[in-house]
Amino acid sequence: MGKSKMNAARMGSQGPEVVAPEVLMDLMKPHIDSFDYFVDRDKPVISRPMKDQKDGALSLDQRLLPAECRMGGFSYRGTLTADLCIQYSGGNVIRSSMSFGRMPIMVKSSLCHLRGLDGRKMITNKEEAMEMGGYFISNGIERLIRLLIIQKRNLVVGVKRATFRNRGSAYSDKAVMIRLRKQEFLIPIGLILKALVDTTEREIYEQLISVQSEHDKSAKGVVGSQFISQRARIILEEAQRLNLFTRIQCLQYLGERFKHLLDVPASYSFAKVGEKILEDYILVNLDSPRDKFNMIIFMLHKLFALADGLAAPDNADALQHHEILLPGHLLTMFVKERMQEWLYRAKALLVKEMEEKPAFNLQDSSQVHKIIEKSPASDVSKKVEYLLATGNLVSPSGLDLQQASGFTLVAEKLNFLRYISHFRSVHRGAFFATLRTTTVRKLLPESWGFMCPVHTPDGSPCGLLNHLTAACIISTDLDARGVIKNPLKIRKAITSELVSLGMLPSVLSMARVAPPDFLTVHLDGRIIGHMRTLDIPGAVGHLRHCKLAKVLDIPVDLEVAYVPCTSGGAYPGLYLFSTPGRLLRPVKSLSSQHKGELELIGPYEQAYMEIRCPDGTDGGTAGISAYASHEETHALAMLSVVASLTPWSDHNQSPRNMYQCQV
Amino acid sequence: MGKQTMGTPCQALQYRADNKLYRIQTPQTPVARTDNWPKFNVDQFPTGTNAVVAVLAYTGYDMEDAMILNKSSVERGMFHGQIYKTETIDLTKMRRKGDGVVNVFARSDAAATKKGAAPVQNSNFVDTDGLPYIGQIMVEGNPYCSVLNTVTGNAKMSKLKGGDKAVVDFVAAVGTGPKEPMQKVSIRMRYGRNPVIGDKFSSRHGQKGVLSQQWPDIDMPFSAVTGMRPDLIINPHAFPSRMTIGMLLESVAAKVGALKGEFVNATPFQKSASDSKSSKKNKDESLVDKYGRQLKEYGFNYHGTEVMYSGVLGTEMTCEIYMGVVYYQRLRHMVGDKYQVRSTGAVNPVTRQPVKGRKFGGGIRFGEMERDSLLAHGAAYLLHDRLHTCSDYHTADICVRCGSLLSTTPVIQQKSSAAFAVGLGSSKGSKVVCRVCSSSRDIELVAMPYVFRYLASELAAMNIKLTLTIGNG
Repeated sequence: MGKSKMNAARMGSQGPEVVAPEVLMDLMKPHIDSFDYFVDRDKPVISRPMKDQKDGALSLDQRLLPAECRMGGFSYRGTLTADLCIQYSGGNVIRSSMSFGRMPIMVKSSLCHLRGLDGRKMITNKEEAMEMGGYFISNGIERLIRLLIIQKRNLVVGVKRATFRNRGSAYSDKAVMIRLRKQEFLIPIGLILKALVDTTEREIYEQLISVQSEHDKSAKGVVGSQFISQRARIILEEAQRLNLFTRIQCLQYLGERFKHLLDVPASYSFAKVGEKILEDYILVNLDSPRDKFNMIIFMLHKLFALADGLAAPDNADALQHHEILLPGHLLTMFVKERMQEWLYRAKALLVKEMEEKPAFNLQDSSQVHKIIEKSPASDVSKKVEYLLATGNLVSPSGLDLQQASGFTLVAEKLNFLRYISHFRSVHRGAFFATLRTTTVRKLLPESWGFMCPVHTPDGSPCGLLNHLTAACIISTDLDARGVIKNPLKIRKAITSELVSLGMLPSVLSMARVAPPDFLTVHLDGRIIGHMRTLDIPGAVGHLRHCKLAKVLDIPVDLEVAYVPCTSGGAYPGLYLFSTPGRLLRPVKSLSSQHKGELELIGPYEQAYMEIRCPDGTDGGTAGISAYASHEETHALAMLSVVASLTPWSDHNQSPRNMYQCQV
Repeated sequence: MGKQTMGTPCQALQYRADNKLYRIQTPQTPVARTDNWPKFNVDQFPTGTNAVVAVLAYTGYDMEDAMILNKSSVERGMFHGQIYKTETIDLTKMRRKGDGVVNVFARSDAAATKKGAAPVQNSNFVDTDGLPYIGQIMVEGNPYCSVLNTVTGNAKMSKLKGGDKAVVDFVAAVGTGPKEPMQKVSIRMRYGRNPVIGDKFSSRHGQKGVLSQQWPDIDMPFSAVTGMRPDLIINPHAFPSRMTIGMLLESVAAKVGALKGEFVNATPFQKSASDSKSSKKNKDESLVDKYGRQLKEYGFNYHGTEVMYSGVLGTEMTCEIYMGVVYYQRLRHMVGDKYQVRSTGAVNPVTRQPVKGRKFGGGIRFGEMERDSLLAHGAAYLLHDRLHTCSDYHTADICVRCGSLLSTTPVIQQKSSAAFAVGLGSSKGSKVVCRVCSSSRDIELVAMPYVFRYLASELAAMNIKLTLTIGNG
């Protein structure tokens, strides 16, 4: 930075209404954007925070301001209203609007009164001009929901774990594991495959052995071996042993086993229950049974490769396989579950009322409402407030998270740096603090540019509590223009681009496409097609060009990860991701069309990319300047906000830098 | 230590009711700063002071990571800070559901006739509306809030706890209803926290230390050429094993910056920056060369050292001393918030051992490892003193015949008034009887920790009898 620029940034040279700069607001972006996604919907609606009648409605200004909440010890909340629809068998739907209590609102989100105000207006509203928001106010205390690291969803992770083998003879996980209300059930794969799609066994067999290769085992990219045909036969035989030959029979078998565990009306037939299970519990991110079928076939291929040692197991602790649980998503899941629970309770109350009092008239909506009100709807918001105030998640399913507490944090205003680092901290999860293995705490090279290597506390949370680097952003549901993304459009756009480059879309079920000649193309956990291995690098380059040229509907934060064929390495394929919650960071592109433009990359693709250093030297990898596809922006990009404020930290012993960044 | 510094927590202090806030009074912006400092507007929340630091083993007070501050610098306001603590008093929580307004904030003047001197004192601190005067200085025990019970007419005063002097900073009335009188109030007190021996300071390189002495300005070493005395003295032994060369560089570079009147760019990894023009030039020149050259232009030594005279002896010191400007931060661990002292005090009712906790006047645990070290010294009586005499010393009556600890009971004798008047009666106030043996002979008084007696009762609750054999030697 030039001397003049340094010296211009003196205190007081900018006037009293200094607003938080773009870069600071960007630090809060993951929190605020995810909350905006949570509230941005037609129904249910959350209103802006207004003063309650009993809170002193004598003032002219009915708005409830954050400053008042802080001073008075209240919570910053807005009413949550939703429509309750009652439909009598085949009749009209009766809608009635109900209030579900007062939901906490994030400061400076789209519902906050402070959004979009300039410096002067902020000061008149009794706020700092530099207020950045991103937190909730609960009983006068500023609290924030912390970012948690969870396994990347829609990703097939190959794991070698001894516990699998202990489950039974000839097991080695040729089964599907589903989690139903914190219980795990194993279902034979053959059964699932047959239940999904009405095909012949011959076709299933062909699909499974398509990876079998006549090549030598040690050749690059071979992922199948002779044992596959044996295994494929075993899989099919399992279904036969149960005397299930057609799809309907398989569905009925599934339905029979699981009917009592699900809350389905008694009128459902077994087949319908079976279908529901497949829909709701097997590969829920995919809608059509065909997609699920293809995905399971792929998973089996990867499994076989893993078992034969032709592909390496994935490291579950690497940042590649992680993503972030954003506050808005946590709230969405939680509120949805609470509302469902409230509906079940309402139903139970109605049923009880009907059984006890025969005089009860179900058709009379006022009576129905009176009964429903026995379990007050405002409980939904009360539970959210409880979650915010204590950080404890009370939920029967646990929302598939490994921890039940520690979700929120007091945004301590001890110090500006401490305050900022609360919003940039990511925790691996309280569960991992109890494990004795230390592999989770290690810093892996994959985290370069995403997690700060220096900014982690020492002592018990060392390596579990990390901080995002200054340049790292998290993908949210909002795209570059602030509009919520449409996954269907994205999928269509990407598929059409790739088809124009020679991809064979998955709708044509070609049985004989497999590595090393053809690789599968995934988008968000769905197989969209197969492509010739030789065509893939070109396709990758084209997709990156589309990202930078802002081609319609191709998201700017698309992650294009091409895992090449290797012998004994990771399972090859082309994986594309556009989901929210992923870590991204900007690097300069060196492609001829977009030289110098900033492109966003993710940890999954970073492991297979060549990125060179900006100083023009090779920096360790000989000759990289020649074939690198990207360039780093600045060396400081690998440090977090707090770590980058230490002067000449490159001359200090690294633990000293860690102490300076200490919690 | 960046996150534990006493800095500027917020800009809208008067609109916040945080439980505890630390604030530094006269902060400065650092001379040596990185690119991200102006980028993230950190100057809006400054956190430390540029201090003139000499690396010198002086006075012997700066050993083992302690440091010496210039007393006159401190008196002129360096590192002064305050703590703001807020108390919220909510009367709505005190009333039960359905009751109307019973308690209000008011000073009780009616008690003047009954209690005498009390209300006169109170009127110094608490106004007629039950709230304190803003700016009033209070010490421990002074009332800061008065709540009047309209039904009984009694006034309850909330008294200030803690040994520090407080100033009432801010009183806020919080609305609880349109027609009710004021029911919720938050009062903010300000405590002064100027640097005191025992407070912790740190540079930005993990060099933390405790203030061990405030050395008067006249006794500080002074530079031969400029006559400047350092604000802070840090021991050179802190550098070899820690290898914080960044601090040494900051010292020289900020010295240059202070002389030139410019901020210095201390961004790490500048040599790897992408613009080839400046990096080519700077690649050859090391930072030492760059700043040494500029120091020489101002007449200082190339290496950042200066010839200094001892402040105590007045003679020139044999070595040149490394002196420069370093940004120091004050951390929030202050001795005033941590010290704990007790001779006798509150005890745990169950075990009769001293309680834990600073605010309860408790003691610090003399744990197993401390016990081991006394054993290693062979200090038997000291150990006995720590664990028994000064802890839960107790004398118990034990029946020698049955060995029971719990069956002995004191029996209070009824004395006739006649015997009293004459002065007769047994010399002991009460006799001790063993209920099991039904005799009051063979009862011995034995010293034991009370917790042993507790153990006996707990075992007895499980039907296990603890028997003691009394003997000599």
